[in-house]
Amino acid sequence: MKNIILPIIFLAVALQANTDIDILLANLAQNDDLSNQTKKESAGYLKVYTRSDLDRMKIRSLKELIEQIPFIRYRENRTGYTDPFYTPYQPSLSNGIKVFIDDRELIAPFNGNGLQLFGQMGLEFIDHIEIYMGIPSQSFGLSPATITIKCYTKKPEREQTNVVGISAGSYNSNREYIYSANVLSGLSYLIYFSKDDNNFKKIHFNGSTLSKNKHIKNFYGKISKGNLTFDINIAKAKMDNFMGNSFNIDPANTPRVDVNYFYGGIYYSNEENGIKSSINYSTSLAKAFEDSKTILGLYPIPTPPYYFLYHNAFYKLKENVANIKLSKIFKIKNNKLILGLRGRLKDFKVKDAKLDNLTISNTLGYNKEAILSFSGEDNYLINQSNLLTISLLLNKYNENSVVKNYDALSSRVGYIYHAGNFTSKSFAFYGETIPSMKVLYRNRAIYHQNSDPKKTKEIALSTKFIYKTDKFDASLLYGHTITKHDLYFDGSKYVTTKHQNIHDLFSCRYNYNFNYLNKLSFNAWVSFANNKNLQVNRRYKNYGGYISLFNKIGKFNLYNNLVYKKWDGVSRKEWNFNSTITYLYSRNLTLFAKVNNLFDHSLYDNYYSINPLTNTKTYLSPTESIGRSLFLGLEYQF
Amino acid sequence: MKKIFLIIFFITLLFADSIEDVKAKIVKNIAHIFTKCKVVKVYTDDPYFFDIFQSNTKIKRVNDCKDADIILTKNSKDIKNICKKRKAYIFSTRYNDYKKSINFDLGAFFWQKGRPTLLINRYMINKMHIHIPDSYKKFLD
Repeated sequence: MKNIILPIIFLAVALQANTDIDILLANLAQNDDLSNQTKKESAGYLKVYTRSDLDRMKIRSLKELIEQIPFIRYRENRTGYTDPFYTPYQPSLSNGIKVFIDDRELIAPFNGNGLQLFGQMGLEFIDHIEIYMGIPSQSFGLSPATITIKCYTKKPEREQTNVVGISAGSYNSNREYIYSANVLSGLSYLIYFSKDDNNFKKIHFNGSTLSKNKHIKNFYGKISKGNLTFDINIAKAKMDNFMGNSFNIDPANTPRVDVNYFYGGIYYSNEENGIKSSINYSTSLAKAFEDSKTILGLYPIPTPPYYFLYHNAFYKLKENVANIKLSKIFKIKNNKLILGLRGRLKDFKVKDAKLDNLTISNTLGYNKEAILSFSGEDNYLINQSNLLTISLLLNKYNENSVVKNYDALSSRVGYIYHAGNFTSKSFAFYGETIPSMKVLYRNRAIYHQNSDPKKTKEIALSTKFIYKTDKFDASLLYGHTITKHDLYFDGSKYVTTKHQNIHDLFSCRYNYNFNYLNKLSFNAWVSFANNKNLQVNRRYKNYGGYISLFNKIGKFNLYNNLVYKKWDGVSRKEWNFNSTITYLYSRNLTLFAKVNNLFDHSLYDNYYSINPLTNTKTYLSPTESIGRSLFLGLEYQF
Repeated sequence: MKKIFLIIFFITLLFADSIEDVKAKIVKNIAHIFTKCKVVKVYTDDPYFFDIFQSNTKIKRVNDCKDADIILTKNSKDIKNICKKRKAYIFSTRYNDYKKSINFDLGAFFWQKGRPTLLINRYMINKMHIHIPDSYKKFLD
């Protein structure tokens, strides 16, 4: 015990050498962090990465934060995109993780979730990040998610600077970015541009080279005046699609997709009358190509032999999303009532799709989904110690063509108790999720089904106890979730499970602030699953945790983090050590060195491909979604 | 072992402040570089600092910049013109304003690159022959 405590004490005492003014400035940076203005404690179980945290971590993408979220692991799917709930040949879980940039939900209409595109993008235009776990408040998005990641862009009033940064590292990866943010005559602006060459270890298999390299150019701009904000985001990406879809994992050329993305939005927010409204639009065009040395895929056709084998595929996918939102906060006595009305129109178009020389067209005609949504949330302050929160979300999905319309309901009741240093939060949730447009389309157009899958239903009960002082906070969390009608692919169509899938989740967290310049964060968790739909191995257990230490010693900022995970069915335990050393050379120049997964010991992914003609599986040698990487970089403000 | 926990406990007690308290302490510390007054008189036109007078009795708000020991302003030039006759210690709360007023601002205290930043104007310090404590020399600009 002494071996652990004594170094901590010596460190804490040594840190008193930091002058009073340093500690006061760090204290202000932490306590007046913008997250204190944006975080919503009643919305769920929250983990905040403040501006100071992100600066010291020098995170390169959301990937690094996702790996620290309890109960899940960071994974990439067979095409190399971020998908923590990836299971081979199964549909992506559209309500698993939702990502927001300010009030904008990142959406990919066809797949349902924008995390795949944005999970590995640079975040230097982001000020702080809030991660809500356990199906947070429905007032955030149009449909609930198990985990909601809210990224808030930098506030020009807090920047007043121009910054240029470069970094380079493993496998010739490099990133260059520049941003400017300031206030001029009452007009505040943020302009950001980054160029990212993200290269990873290539895998040689079956005489093919598998690559996850991604080259992304990203522009973000925001202008605000008074209650109005206008923002745009333009991204251009060229991405290698790792394994691709070939039956025998043998692409002849690297599978690849080029994406052009545009987003624009106008936001109105008035704190005085509680009205928020917004309208935004995004469009993307993806051009994908891949081929195989043997067989890339099998396309069902209505005449014998009822399938067509192809060796290369090309298509263009255009996706559009338009959103409109209006919400108002009513404060009536001890009630804070938030009513919201939202509309979303999504459509996609597959163009120039070719499988070898066969032109594929969308004969089904299904390509549009219109969603009308009503949300209501009441936070009733019973007295200074007790708060009751009730929320309801009603969504009506109108699908075009022959696809059936869906209604989805979700509701949540929560009770928060707070007295002195002690807080408890308890929530009960019921929610319904509908399949993504991709699943609805493929089920009918490719697998020739005459019906659509059922909604997935989920019940979640959870409670958390928190003890917080000025120096530390400790918490215990328990959650119990039951899902029914989980969506899965049975080899010939998408269907839903018959029985319940039950999870029990336990987590404890401890954060200790030595003196605002130095802090320690610890988390341990375990999850038990009982999937009654499985014939064998229906009960399984995963566990893990992390320890993070932020220090400032003289002109050095240090961030050290160790993530441990043991995952059922994965032979190797994860010991993922991450470290960043930042040297503050001057007020304007910062140098840093960063290593991710130093021990090269993260969880394995067991990728495989199925050849339905021979009913054989081709396994890729165990590989990792999180590889070891080292980066050196600098940031200069002018 | 008891001693160990006692040390941790006392270290813990060293820090416990609201945001207003922290801002007030920073302003008081800056002011005490230049003035020995026990109660520091502060004039400010920046709403960010309006709440610092609530709890700290060692700083007092004044409504006329001519009565102030230290001035926190978004617009140094205007304040300089208004308070011509007074030897006022002007600290800007905007970086652009400070750069424009480098010939008479004593320093700046503002948010930049997402963190609170303190700058002390070397030119003015030399001109006014002010002694800066060692712990503040790193803020000289």
